[in-house]
Amino acid sequence: MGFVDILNVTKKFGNVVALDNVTLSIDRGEIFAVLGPSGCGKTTLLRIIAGLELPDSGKIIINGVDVTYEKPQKRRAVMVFQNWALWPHMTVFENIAYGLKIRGVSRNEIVKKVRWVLELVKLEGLEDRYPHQLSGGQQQRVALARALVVEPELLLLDEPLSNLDARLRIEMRDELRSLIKKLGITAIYVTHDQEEAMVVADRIAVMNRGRVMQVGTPSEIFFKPKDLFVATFIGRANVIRGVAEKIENEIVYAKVNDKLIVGLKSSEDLSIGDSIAIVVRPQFIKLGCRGDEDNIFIGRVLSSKAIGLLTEVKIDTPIGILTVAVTGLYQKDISSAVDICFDKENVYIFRYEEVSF
Amino acid sequence: MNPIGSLLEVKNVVFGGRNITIVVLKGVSFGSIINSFVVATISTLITTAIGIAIALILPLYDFPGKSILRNLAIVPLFAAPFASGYVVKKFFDWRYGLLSYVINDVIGIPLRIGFESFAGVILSEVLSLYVIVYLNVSAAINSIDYTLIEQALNLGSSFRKILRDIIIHLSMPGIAAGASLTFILSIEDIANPIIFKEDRLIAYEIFRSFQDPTTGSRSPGAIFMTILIILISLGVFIGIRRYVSYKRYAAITRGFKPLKPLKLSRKGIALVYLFILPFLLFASIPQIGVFILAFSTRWYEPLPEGFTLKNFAAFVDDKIVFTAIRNSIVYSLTALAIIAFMSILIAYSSARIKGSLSYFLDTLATIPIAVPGIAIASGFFLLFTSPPFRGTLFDPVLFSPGTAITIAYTVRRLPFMVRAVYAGIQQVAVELEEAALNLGASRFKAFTSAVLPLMALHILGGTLVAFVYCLSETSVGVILGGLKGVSVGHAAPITFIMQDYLETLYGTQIVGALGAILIILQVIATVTSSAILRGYVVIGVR
Ligand SMILES: Nc1ncnc2c1ncn2[C@@H]1O[C@H](COP(=O)(O)OP(=O)(O)OP(=O)(O)O)[C@@H](O)[C@H]1O
Ligand SMILES: [Mg+2]
Repeated sequence: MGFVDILNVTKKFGNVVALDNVTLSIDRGEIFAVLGPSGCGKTTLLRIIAGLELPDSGKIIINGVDVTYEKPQKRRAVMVFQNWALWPHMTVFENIAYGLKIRGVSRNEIVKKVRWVLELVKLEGLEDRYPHQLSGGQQQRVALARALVVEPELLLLDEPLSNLDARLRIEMRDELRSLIKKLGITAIYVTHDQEEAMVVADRIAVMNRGRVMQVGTPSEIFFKPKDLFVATFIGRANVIRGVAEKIENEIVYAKVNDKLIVGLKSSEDLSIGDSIAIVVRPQFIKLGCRGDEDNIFIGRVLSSKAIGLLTEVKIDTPIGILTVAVTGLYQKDISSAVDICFDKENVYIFRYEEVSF
Repeated sequence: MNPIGSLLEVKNVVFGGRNITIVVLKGVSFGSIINSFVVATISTLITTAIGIAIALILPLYDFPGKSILRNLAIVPLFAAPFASGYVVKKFFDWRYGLLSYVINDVIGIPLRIGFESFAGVILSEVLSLYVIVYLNVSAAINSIDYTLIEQALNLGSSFRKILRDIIIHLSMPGIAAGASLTFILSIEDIANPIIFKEDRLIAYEIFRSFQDPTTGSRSPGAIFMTILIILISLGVFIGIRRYVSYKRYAAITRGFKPLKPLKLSRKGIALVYLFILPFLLFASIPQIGVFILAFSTRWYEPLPEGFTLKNFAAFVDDKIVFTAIRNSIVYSLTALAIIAFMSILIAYSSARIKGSLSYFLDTLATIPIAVPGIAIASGFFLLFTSPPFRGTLFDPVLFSPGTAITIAYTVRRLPFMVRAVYAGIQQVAVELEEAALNLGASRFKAFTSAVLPLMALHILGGTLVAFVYCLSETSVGVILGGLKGVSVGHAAPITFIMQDYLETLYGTQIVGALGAILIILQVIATVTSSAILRGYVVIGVR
C-alpha cells in the first residue's frame, strides 16, 4: 500500500470516458509523473484526487484514509493549477497568505512563513506586486509558493510549466525537482511532455484515453515499453509493419517485405503469423555496419537535416523509410548507398491491432 | 365583422382662413382583440424591416460619419414614459403639430398631415422599437466570426452573395428575437394607447378595468384579456427561448475574429445620408421634444410659448410630484437590493450546477422578459387582493400598492441583471474559486474572496442600469400606482404621476421635465455600465 492509492477509478463525462478503471499507487516522498497526450484524463485524475470532482466508481486513499467523498477543503492535497489560477485582485503576499489565513495561522506566523517560501522560490521583494505585474516564470513560482506554504502532505501539479517558454521550462523543471525533493513532499506531477516527466519524476505512469498503459521508472518506460503506444509516445520511433515469422523465448523474427528483422518480444500475447509493429528508435540505428551484426540493411540517403547537436537522416531501405539520428554533422550525398543496422535489444516488437491508435 | 372608422381621411377644409387639404391617417377597428393583433403585427413588420436595414449597414460598412449614426441609432433606447409619446402625437397633430405647421404655415403648401388613433400608436411604436430589432440583429452580425466571411471571400464569393448566404442566415436568430420582442412590447404597450386615446386595444381595456379597481379588474372580460395577452407572450417566448437565455450572451469564444467593415461605395453613402440619417433624426424627435417640453412654459401651439426652469422646481414644490419621486426611489432601491441578491444566487448556481436545474433557473429568470408588464401587474393585483394576502401589507388596495410595485419591479428587471451577473461569473475562471477551495476555504468564503471581487464591476454595471429602468417602469406603475388614490402622501411612483399629469395645463411640462431627467439618468447608466463592462477583460485564464 502506498501513500496515495488510486483504486479502480472510473469517470465519465456524458459518453466520454475520461478515466477508465485507473489504479495507481504512489509512495511517500516520491515524485510521480502522470504522462499522456492531451485529453487523456490527466487533469481529471488530479481533480478527483483533490476532491474537485467525484469519480463514478473507485476509491482514493490518502495515507490510509479513504477520502473519495471527502470535501476538497478537508484533503491535505494542494494543487498547482494548469493556468496557475492566481487571484488577480490580490498581491503576491495575499495570494500566498490565503491558505494560511484560512487555516487560522497568526499574523506573525503568516509573515514568517510567506517570507520563508518566497526565499525558497526566489521571489524575495515581490510580495507587493499583483500577478499581472509579474513575468510568466514569476507567476508560476507564486502559484507554487501558494501551494508549498501550507506544507501539504501531497502536492498536485497540473502541467505547471506548460505556460512557460521552452527555455524557462527546461530551467524550471530541474529547479522544481530539487525543491520538492528538498522539502520531502510527495508529488503527483501531470505533464504531456515526456522529456519533462523523465527529468522530474522518480516514476512515471503513461496514460492514453483514460487508461494507464504502463507504470515504471523513466528508464523502464524508455527501454522496456510495454506497448506500442508507450513505445511511440516516449521518444521518437520508427514504426515498421510486418508479420511474426518465428518466436524463440523472448526473441521474435519478423518478416517485412521478405526481409527478416530480429527483436524483443514486447507483447505478451504474440504468436506466429500475427500482424506486428516493429519499433526502432532513431538514435539506435547505426550507419556503416560490420558484417556480423543483427538487422543489417542497405539503404540510400534521402535527406539529411541538422537539428542542433543531432542530424536527422532519412534513409530509404528495403524495410521502409527510416529516420536515423546521428550525433554531430552527417555529410553524405543524397542518394548515396549506406549500410544500416540495429541491435535486436533495441527493437521492440508488438502485436499490431488496428485500433491501437 | 364590420370595421368601424376609416383608414385615411382626406378632407378639404378651411383652416385659419385658408383652403387646405388635410390628410389624417387613422385606422379601422375590428374590436380590441383583432385591433391589438393588427397594430402589433404592422408595428413589428415595419420595425423589423427598418431595424434590419440599419443593422446591415452600420456594423458591416465604414463610411464618413458612421460613429454619429451609430450613436443616433440607439437614441430611442432612452425613453421617457408618456413624454416621448406625447411629443410624437404633438408633432403629428394636423392642427397644432410642428410638421403641418412647417408644411402649411411656413412653406405654404396647402396641406396638413396628421396621425391619429391606430396609425398614431403604430407610428409611435415604430419610432421607439426599431432599436430593439437593430440591436438584436447587429449583435448577431457582430458575433459572426470574420474567418467565415474571409473563407467565403477566399473561395471567390462576392460580398453580395456573402450577405445573402452567410450574414442574413447567421443573423436569423437576432432577427427572430428582435421581431418577437417587438411584437410582445407593442401588444402590451399601454402608454401609446393612453396618449392617442385609443381605447379599442387589449392593453387599454385592461388598464381601464383598473380605474374601478374593486369591481372592474375582477371582471371576467378583464381577466380574459389578461390571460390572452399572457398566452400570446408566452407563445412567442417559447419560440425565442433559446435567444433570450442569459447564457447566450455570456459565451466566451476563443480565437474569435471580429468583423472587418467594408468601405461603403459612393452610392451607398448617398443612400445612407438620404434615407437612414433622416430616419434616425426623425426617430430622435421624441427625445429632442421631451427636452424642449421640459423647458417650455407652455407648448400647445406648434411652437413653445417660452422657456423656463420652473418645471424642474416642481419636483420639490409640487407635493404630489415630490412624493412620487420619493416613492419611486424607495421602490426601486428596495427592488434593487432583492434583484442584486437574487441575481447573484441564480447566476452563480446556474454557472456552477450543470444539468436540468440550471436550465430551469435560466428559464425562470428569463420568462419575465416576455411576460407583459400589464399581465404582471394584474397578476399581482389578483393575487394580493385575495386571501391569504388580502388586507396584509401586500394588498395594493387596502394597504398600499408599494409592496406589489416593488415586487413587480424586481421580477421585471431580474432577467437583465442575471444576465450581467452571469456574464461576470463567466469572466472569472472557475479555477480561481477551486484554488481557494483546494486551500481549505469554504464555498462561501471562496466565493466572497475569490469570485465576488472580480465580478463586482459587473454587478455594479447591472445594478446601475436596473435602478434607472425601475425608475422608468411604466405598465405596473400606471396600473397599480393609483389604487390608493392620489392625494398628499400617496403611494404612486413617478410614471403614474406622469400619466396623471399628462395633458393638464401645466402638468404636461412637468411630465416633460421628469421625462428629461429619466432620459439623462438612462444615458448615464448605460454609458457608465457599458464602459465598465467593456473595459473588463477576461480574467484568470491567460
Ligand atoms: N467537465 C467536463 N465535461 C465534459 N467533458 C470533460 C470535462 N472535463 C474533461 N472532459 C473530457 O474528459 C477528457 C479528459 O480531460 P482532461 O482535462 O482530464 O484531459 P487532460 O489529459 O488534462 O488534457 P490536457 O493535456 O489537454 O490538459 C477529455 O476528453 C475532456 O474533453
Ligand atoms: Mg489538463
